[in-house]
Amino acid sequence: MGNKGWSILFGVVMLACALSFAVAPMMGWWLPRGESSHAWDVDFLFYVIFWIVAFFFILTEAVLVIFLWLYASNPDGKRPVSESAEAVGFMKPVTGFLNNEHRIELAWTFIPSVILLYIAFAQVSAWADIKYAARQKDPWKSATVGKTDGGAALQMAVSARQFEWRVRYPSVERFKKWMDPKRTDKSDYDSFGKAPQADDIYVVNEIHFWEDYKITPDQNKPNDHVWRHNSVVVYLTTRDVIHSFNLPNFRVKQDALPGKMIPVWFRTAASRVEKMDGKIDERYPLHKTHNCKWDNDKNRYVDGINPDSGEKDNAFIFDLACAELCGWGHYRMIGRAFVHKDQADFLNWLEIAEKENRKRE
Amino acid sequence: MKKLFCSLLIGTAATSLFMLTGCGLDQHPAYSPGIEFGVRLDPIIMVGTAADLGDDRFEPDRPGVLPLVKYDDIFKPEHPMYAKSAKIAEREMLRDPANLTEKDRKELVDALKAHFGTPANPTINAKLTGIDEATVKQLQLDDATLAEGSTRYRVHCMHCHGVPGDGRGPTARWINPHPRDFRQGVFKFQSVDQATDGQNRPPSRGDLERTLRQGLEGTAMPTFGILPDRDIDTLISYVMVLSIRGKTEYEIIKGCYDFDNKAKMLVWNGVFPDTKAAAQFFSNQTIMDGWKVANDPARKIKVYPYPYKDGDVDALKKSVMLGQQLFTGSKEHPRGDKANCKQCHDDYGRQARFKFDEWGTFVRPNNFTQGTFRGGRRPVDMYYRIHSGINGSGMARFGKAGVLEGQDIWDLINFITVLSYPPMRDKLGIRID
Repeated sequence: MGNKGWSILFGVVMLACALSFAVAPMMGWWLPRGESSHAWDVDFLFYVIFWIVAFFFILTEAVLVIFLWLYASNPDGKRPVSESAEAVGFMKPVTGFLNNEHRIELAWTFIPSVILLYIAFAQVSAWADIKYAARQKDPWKSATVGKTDGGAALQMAVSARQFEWRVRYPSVERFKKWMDPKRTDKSDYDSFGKAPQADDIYVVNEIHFWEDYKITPDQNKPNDHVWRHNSVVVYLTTRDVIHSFNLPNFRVKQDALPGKMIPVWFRTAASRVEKMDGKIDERYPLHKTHNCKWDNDKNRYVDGINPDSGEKDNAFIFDLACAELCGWGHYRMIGRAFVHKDQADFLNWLEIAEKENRKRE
Repeated sequence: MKKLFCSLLIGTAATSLFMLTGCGLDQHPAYSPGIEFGVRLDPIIMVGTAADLGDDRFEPDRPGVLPLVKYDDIFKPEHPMYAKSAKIAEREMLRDPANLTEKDRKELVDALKAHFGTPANPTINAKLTGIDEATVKQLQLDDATLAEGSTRYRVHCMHCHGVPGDGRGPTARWINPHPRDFRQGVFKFQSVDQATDGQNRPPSRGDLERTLRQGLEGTAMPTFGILPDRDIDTLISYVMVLSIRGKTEYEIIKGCYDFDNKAKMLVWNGVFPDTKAAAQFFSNQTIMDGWKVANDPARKIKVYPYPYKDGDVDALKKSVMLGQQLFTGSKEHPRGDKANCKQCHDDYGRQARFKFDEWGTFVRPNNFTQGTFRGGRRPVDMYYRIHSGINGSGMARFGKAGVLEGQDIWDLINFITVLSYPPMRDKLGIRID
């Protein structure tokens, strides 16, 4: 046996890693379901990189374990003598290749370069779609489909600080104005992130938006409609140190830097994405995302509600976490995302929040 | 031998890794039963106002300096009270509980323990304090709730507010403003009327709940809204007990001893026959005259109805103008001299100076041009603050009879609200530069 114990230890660790990966989805340790329109792209990249890394991890671990086993010292402390690569039986088919130093160097330079270049190019479009302003649909016309219109994108301003998220929404009056198909005045829409108004609505540790909404091009034909997913623009600032705005369920992560206002865009993955021609975009997951409802007993909206059953379901708790170690209370800097069924339900919440913000008695 | 050592090392590392994840362990472990509250060691302010402790200053409160941790600290040149330390000592403005005799200290510890238990088993001993079942139920001070609250407090609050609620927990040193010290029974942000009837009353449970759920913007107090409702309820109960216990201790040390200048010792002054009787009296008074009264809905501040119509720009313009006159103490307003907010909120708060508060820490009058309101930004929150003041901070109670009228308070609120919005200031014709 000798000192072959080490190879067993490393082998067991490798097997435990592989096993925990295999059971992770069943135990709920894996990525939550993607709820935003770019989630598919992010997950695709994640899995590509994951499988590349997993392949090389298992390969190198296997070689490590085998070599540890073969070359373990004897109990008398003598090390085994390796005279040539010939000694390793299973390496025979590649020994000729290995012996040629020039070719082996080429191989271990070229293959990783190709992989890295592939990853570098594969992520470009996804990154641009998520982060570049030029790639975003104009928020003012975010819900315009052909001649129909569902309003501008929802804007909110998130101000991070140790250790909570303060969120600012426009007043009901301005919100309604911006969602009006006949809207023209966009002056206060553009300045929303930079210029707070006295009638803004403030909530803490909760961000609210809605899932999707219906556009009826012809008011005379109410059944002839399209569903549009909702766009959200978050203006992110921080009042103290660096924080990171992370919505894991929506695959959104953006650092908040002191002194900067950073816009973050995302769109909910609509449950009913239909285009004007009636076709369904197959890439988007067809499931309902909304996770909150009005609770009469508690007299407030509660989240974590499964939209299909209407019951409490932990899979529908959408965290708003801080993803940058920001101080001792980093772990408790956690809020919740409330996704409303439609614009009307969101407006209902906004009206309640405004009433609370304006409370005079 | 070496092999044994290696396998032991690996085994320990693997086990501790597993334990670090916290899987399956109790999320809210209780205090160990041996821990006791003890008797406070930091000085108590005896006479004079907070202003006598030191001068107002521009320089900000430095994190790491907690005034009044130890009495001797005030004689160190870097301490904020150093400038007036000779006068403080001469007037006996501060009482140092370290001067209690061994016997008195033991009696005090025993009396407090009998009344309020230990951190692991907190209680309000109804028999000793003489409060009835109905009050215990109304204030939710039963033992089961308190024991649960103590475990939650240990996880969520203790590291800032400290085991006895003294605001001197391990992280408190680096926090500015300092965490609240519950032991004087004084809380800043509440909706209980302090202007027309009594002052420095404790808040209602609803006020504490609002602080827990909303946090205090601009301070290190975060929101705890994500906790289950039951946890918030039990936390409120436990904070109440810490406050009642602390206040009882505070009143006894403040009122039941005389300072013997020769022996440099505190001697029992005989107002009460013994420590037990004193503890009984003060704990009963704190609960029945303090918390019970504060939780009576009839004691809530009666808010004067908002006198203007929403959307009426001309009325708002006039209201804001009146508000500015009140704020600056202008003679044009009949009650301008009574408000005169700029006396402390100098230059609309931009030049406001730090002052000592009733806890011996620093507090700064709000800078209204920044639009941060610790006690909440709802108009009604601001009404409470102006009407009944902010306990302990030196903010006056303008709702007192003969000071300001309801409409004046609304004018001030309208004015303060627009201060942090420059375009709105222009629109309403307000100049502050």
